[in-house]
Amino acid sequence: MRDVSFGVTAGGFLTLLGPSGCGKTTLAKLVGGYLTPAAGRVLILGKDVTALPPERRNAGMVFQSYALFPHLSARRNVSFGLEVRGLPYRTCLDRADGMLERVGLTPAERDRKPAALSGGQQQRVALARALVIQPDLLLLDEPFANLDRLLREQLRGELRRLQRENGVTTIMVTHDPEEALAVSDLVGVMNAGRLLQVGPPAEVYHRPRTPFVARALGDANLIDGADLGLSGTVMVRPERVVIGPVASGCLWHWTARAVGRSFLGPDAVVELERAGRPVLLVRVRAADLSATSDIEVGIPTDAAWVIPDTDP
Amino acid sequence: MTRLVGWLGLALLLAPVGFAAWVSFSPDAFLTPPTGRWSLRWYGAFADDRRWTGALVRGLWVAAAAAGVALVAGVPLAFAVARHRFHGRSVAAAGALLPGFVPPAVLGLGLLPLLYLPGLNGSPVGLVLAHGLLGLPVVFLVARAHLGQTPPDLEAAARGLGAGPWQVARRVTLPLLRPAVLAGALAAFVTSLNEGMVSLFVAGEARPTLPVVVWNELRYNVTPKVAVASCVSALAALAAVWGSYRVFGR
Amino acid sequence: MSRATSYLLASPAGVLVAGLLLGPVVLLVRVSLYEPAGGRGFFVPGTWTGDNFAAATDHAGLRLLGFTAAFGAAVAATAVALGYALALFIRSLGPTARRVAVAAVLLPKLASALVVMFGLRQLLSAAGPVSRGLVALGVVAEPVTLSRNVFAALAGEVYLVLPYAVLVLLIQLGRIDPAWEAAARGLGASRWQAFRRVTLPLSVPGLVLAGQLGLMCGVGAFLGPMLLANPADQTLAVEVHRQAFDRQNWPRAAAGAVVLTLTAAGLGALFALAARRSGGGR
Repeated sequence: MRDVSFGVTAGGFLTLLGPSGCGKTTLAKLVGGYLTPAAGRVLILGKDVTALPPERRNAGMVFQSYALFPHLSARRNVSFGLEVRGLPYRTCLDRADGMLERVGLTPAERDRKPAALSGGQQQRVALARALVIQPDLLLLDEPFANLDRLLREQLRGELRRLQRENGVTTIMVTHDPEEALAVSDLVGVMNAGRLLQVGPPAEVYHRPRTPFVARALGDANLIDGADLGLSGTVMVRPERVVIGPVASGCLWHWTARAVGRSFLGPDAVVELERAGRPVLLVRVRAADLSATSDIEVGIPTDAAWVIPDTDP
Repeated sequence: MTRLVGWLGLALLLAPVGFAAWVSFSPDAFLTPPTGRWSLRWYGAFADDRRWTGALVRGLWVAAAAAGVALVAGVPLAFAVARHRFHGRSVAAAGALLPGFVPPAVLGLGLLPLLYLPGLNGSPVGLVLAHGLLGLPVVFLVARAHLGQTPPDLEAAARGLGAGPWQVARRVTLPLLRPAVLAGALAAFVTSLNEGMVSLFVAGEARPTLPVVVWNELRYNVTPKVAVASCVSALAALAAVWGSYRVFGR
Repeated sequence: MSRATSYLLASPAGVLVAGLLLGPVVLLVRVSLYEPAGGRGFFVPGTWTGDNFAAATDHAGLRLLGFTAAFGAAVAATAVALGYALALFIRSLGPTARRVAVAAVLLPKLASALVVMFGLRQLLSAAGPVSRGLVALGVVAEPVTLSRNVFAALAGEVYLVLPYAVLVLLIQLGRIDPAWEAAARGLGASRWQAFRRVTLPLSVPGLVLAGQLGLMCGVGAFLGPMLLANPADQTLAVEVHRQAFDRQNWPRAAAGAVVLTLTAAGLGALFALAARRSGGGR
């Protein structure tokens, strides 16, 4: 981990995106105080907390495994952080109940031990436990990794709602680009211990600074600029490529052969090949796709983004 | 600071055995550790005494046989308990642990008649069976824990590939169980080698194992030979562990 | 696999336990009800008497029983406390150091219990290093024998039980996900609070098992009291041995063994019950 520097404005939502082993979880644990950095500083609300143990940072964390205490009921899990702060027991339970209500756990479920709760319920308890202490910072380490897709999307929306309501500054760690783009104010892309780019989702998606960032956020066509009469590498998102008669209106257009098609429901992805050139991915409405194998394809000028930095 | 106390505590745990080993190199008849001159005098005395060496060799044989008895009893039981449902399953599991919970003095006294059973008189068979019984709990526990960690899917897969139940046991279950069998057998072996309490009752005066000889020596006339015997038997145990991991271990 | 196969697999162990444990214990009960033969044979055949139990539970007998139970409890408590501290320490170590530490815990078990007793007796003898150290420090004027008392016997038995206690507790601690403690810290718990509210409650099953083990070994203690204690402070197991070997009174020894078994089982069950009761309250 080196040369990593970023800030989140109060109330903002930053997501660190990267492949497993890139150091994103390490970074979250450094911020939370679970690991100590060899060099560098961590500031929360302007206060240097680098030397403070986790319990004095007031940062709620949702672990990937949730780390719910197996010997305590859901309610006692949530009230734990309040109990150790020395609040009256009743108050702790009342506030825990309030928070569990907000994350949608029924009173019967609140008395259950974590092992008796479903994955989604465990995730809600973990979130409630982190939020009930009114943290200055909320840390989420792959919070949705152990859930199935439908539940993941539902909880993602709820998380964003809760975070807005609470106004708590949040740092999330994930390897899922869709998740990162959907919930964040800022996305930071990491690789091999380095933070490559931080910016609003649309900016990072459409104007990546390196080829790695381009690929990290979704499918990307990386074309040698010389092909298009440009310098450097040009990135074109598959959904920005056009096909059919309109293609001829583009500055860059040609006829290519479809070598593979995948049907994705509303959309379809087509792999196009020109003799001797790498495959070009195109994402179009499934309805627009014809069965012919030779397809007119074009790249609008505003769809092409020249990647300034050509390091991988 | 905590660290220092921790390591000191561990060192203290080793102190009595370490001190006994040190004393064994004494050049005198006193039980004081040698500071200047170390001597193998008492090792020589040990090697020359047929009663002691005979007891050591007898103990090794008994331990090996007892480990075998414990395996034959413990491993199949662990397999039955871990993989099948049958009446008395929990009773069987509890029963296998029972030898570990009965005070050795009680077990020894109860087994005293073994010594006088016709046909067994003077033979170490009774001792072997008694030590096998003592080794049963650890063999059973280790094997069951290991079976619990091995997914039954592996056995199901072998069945699906056309292996019968006995073939599955021989080709899949037992090979997977090997580390556990080895660990359990060694634990039973070492338990038997060092066991002095039940042996006291069952081994008899005529054919004692080493702990029984040491016991009598400790009660009456103590020489550094006791320390030597301690070291020799601990070394024998260590050698058995090391050797079997070289031969049977991965 | 059929039910018959299961029973077949269980049969060797069944024969062993029934023949060498249950059978002899039943036999002991019968023997304890014979009249002693007073040196001519083991017992008087065909007789029935309760005298042996009466002798085992008279004033001296009850004193012996009380001492045995208290001794067992002391062994269990000491072994669990020290074992837990050691297990926590070992758990905090890195992988290599941990392996060394576990080896150090197990190594004494490669040697006979008699070796431990012998080493301890020499360490605590008047000429031993502890006594000399005390003289050198000026704590005592003359070399002192530190064995031949209850505490030496207790230390001896704790030495025998401690490795098991540490192992049991290490296994239990291994089941505690470090993330739980980290989560507790992140929620504002101090190190002590995280230990008190997360680690300790989750250690309870291991503590109970280690305590039971210590209790069983402690109540049945023989070598420690025999070799390290004052002849006046003896346990029931020593008495059983004395009756059987020195007095050749097999029925009395058998009665003592029966009482010892019942005491060990009773204390073990009581302890388990108390542990469950208090464990369920939290």
